[in-house]
Amino acid sequence: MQQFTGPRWGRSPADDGTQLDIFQAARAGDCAQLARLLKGGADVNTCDRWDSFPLYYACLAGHDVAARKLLEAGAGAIFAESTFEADRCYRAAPNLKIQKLLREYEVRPLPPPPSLARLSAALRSAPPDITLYVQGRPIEAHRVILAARSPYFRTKLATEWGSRREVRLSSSHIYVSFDLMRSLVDFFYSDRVDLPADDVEAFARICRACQCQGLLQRANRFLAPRRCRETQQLDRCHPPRRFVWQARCAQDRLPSALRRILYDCLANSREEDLRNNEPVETCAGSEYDDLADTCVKVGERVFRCHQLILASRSEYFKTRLFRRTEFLERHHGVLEEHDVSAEAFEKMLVYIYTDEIEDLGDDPLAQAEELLDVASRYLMYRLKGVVADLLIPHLDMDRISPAQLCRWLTLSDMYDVAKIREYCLHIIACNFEAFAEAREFQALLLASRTSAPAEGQGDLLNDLRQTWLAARLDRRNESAALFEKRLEMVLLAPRQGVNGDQRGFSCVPGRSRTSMIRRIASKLMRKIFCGILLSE
Amino acid sequence: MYPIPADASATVQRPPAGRRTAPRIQPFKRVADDPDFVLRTCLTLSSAFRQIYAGNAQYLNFESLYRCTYNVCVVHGGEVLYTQVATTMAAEVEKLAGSLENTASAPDDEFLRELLGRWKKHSNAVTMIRDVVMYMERSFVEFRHKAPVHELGLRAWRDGMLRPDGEVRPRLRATLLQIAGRDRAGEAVDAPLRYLMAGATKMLVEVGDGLYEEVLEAPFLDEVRRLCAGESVRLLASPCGCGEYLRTVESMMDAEKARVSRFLDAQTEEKVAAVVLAEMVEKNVARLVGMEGSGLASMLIDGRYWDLTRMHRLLGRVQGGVPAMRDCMNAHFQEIRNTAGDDERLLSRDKERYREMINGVFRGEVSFHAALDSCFT
Repeated sequence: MQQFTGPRWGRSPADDGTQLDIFQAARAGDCAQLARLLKGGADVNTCDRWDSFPLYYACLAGHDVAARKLLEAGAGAIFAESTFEADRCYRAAPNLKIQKLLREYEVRPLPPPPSLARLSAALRSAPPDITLYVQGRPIEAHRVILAARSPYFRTKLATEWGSRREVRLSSSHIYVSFDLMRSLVDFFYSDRVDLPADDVEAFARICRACQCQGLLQRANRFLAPRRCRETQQLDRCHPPRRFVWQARCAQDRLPSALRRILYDCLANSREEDLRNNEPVETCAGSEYDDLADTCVKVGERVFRCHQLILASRSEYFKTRLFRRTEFLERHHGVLEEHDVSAEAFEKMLVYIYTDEIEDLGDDPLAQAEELLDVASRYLMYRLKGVVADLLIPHLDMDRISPAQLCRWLTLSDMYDVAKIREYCLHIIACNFEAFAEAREFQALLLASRTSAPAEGQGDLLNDLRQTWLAARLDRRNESAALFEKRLEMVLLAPRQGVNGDQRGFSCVPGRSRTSMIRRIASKLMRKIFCGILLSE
Repeated sequence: MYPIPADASATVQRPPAGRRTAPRIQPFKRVADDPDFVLRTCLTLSSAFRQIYAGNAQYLNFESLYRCTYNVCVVHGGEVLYTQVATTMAAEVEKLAGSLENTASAPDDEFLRELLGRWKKHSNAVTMIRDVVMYMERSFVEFRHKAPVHELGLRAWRDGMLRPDGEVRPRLRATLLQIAGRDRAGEAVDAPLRYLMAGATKMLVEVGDGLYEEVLEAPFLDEVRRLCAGESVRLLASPCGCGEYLRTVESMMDAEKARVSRFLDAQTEEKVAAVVLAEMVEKNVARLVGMEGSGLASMLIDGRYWDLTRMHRLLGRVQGGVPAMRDCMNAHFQEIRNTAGDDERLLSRDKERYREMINGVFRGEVSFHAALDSCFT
């Protein structure tokens, strides 16, 4: 499946071999070629120098099988992004069959990305702290999410509703029905809306009242009569029965809404640091009230955050905030965290709110190490994988020394991050000569040989052997013997350094053995030649 | 910036690892401190656990204790910490058991109240300790498949307080039997004692390991068995009909089930019903079914539908009950057949009547239908 990045406007490189072929294949209806290209990673949603997509060509030429292939590969994203392109495809379709195919993919919603599913599941499972009563029936929600997703709710929570736990939404100025409000709140959590087509108009009114711009635009687009004659005809025969939409664009999604609230929190925190003498509840640095209900003091900085989000993402915080309140907290309403640096904690907060980290900052290795420590301490195991993904590009043989790489191998064992471990072993296996010199590597091998593997990590030597053999698959038997020999040489070297009087020839490591042979041989040669010259 | 309470440094002990200023060197620094660091931190944690047991949790800082656990587990000191947790819990439970000794001569409800108070203290402390060493549980315990901290707490309680040779078990047993006896005799057992008994039952069920069955359930079932055997002998000796006997059986069963639901755990209800039936019905099936003047045959003739339903219901739960009924019915149908002789109308009328009876009263029992068909063809 292609990454849903949306259509790329502007001149795409027409001299790129694969991109030209996809247009040609779509035009010709060549399904085998299309399959090959898509498997090879060609992007379905690019346009050529005439600003046309492969799907357009397939529709124009009337190849329904090719069009279906493209739609399955993700060309349906254009329906989410632009009606002009969608209308163009409809207009280009020569027969009803292709139009129906397009309609089928237009109404089919794309699946939510997995990170979002996790985030919304975690948030949904937390106990609700506000109940909205609509037409007498309750909808349970969390203040943070409501405030993050809708400016109307945000102002209401900040001013009128305050800390009330139950709020009655009256239908005085807009007609609010329970089902529609429920759909709206579900959209806040899961970025997905699914309504019968008749209710969309009322839903659009509610969106306008709650100031949810993205959703309002989409609903209006659904309601607006299509200008294209073909779609109008299709609409008359087969009207769309449901309005289904999964928000794809970044600003419509939950993580970015939470990110906005997070930035407000951070802005408020910084403001507070500067001021440095006021209690936490009264200060408001950014223009919005961020509804933060707890502060975490890390070093010199204080971070404002929301109990709910912290608790739903980390079991440590859940225990500390909700279960174990009988322990001593030194300052009321403020949690203190020690042994963490403020930068790492800030990055962790960004991860908690938005389920991703942007980058590792200026000093990636140190920051990554600290983040791994933080992730394992606060029991956020997925963060380790995210950090590993960000770190691995920095673990390059050109940029770091073998000693550092050995250290990262140890760290990956300590924090149990399999990705980093495999990557380090792979690099070591590929550059064994460079590592054989390093003293840290020898120490590592000796340590792993003598001590039992801790916590069932798996023998380092075995894993190294496996990785070595995997890198040289074609010459397995010689590779195994070579590996053993090299390992012996590496392991014997420190012993050679420890007691220097063991000058037996078999104990000398290979490298200096050859150099010694060379030296002796050259001396002999010189003597022989000198002897010959002298004798002549 | 924020006011720090005066007693903070006195009660809270930080681990010696110190604040992390340059994050680079930290892990190796921990490893270098190895033997001393782990032991010292574990001792700090055990003193914190003792404070928790003493009820002074509000003077402890959760964050620093959790950080101690984390630091210990990261340098692979999980084993040491695990044994520390186990030994501290065992020691504390010993202390609690020791303080219970002096209530040995107190009346029952006093004793139960003390026991349950200590149990509550222990289980609260165990949950607090479990949360403090949460990191160890997630990393070490799950990885090595050891018993979780909650399990350790239950084991400590079982071995410390509920020893086989101790006093608590016989006391509990005696209290329960006494209460059940009073209830059977018709005396009102006052509500606090009932709640205490129910609490003690819950405690035993939670500790598990067959303790509830051994301490409470088995003696109670033995008592019921004895009573039922005596009652059955008495009733059968006296001139009482089968219907009346079965009625007594059913009322006893219901009474015992109600008693169990008041004092014991719900899992015993089925067992006590089975015991009553086994003692009073299973041993006397043939006698009951074939009783002169009030057995199955006369019930069928007289059409005593309630008695028939009850007999089927009770005997259906007992081994060999329904086959015995079927044999008796077979014999009865044979007799009717023989007396009716060749009178077709009479035969068919009887057949219809019995068929309806089987469908209604015996809920369409298949073997009875088969017997009816085989006799009346």
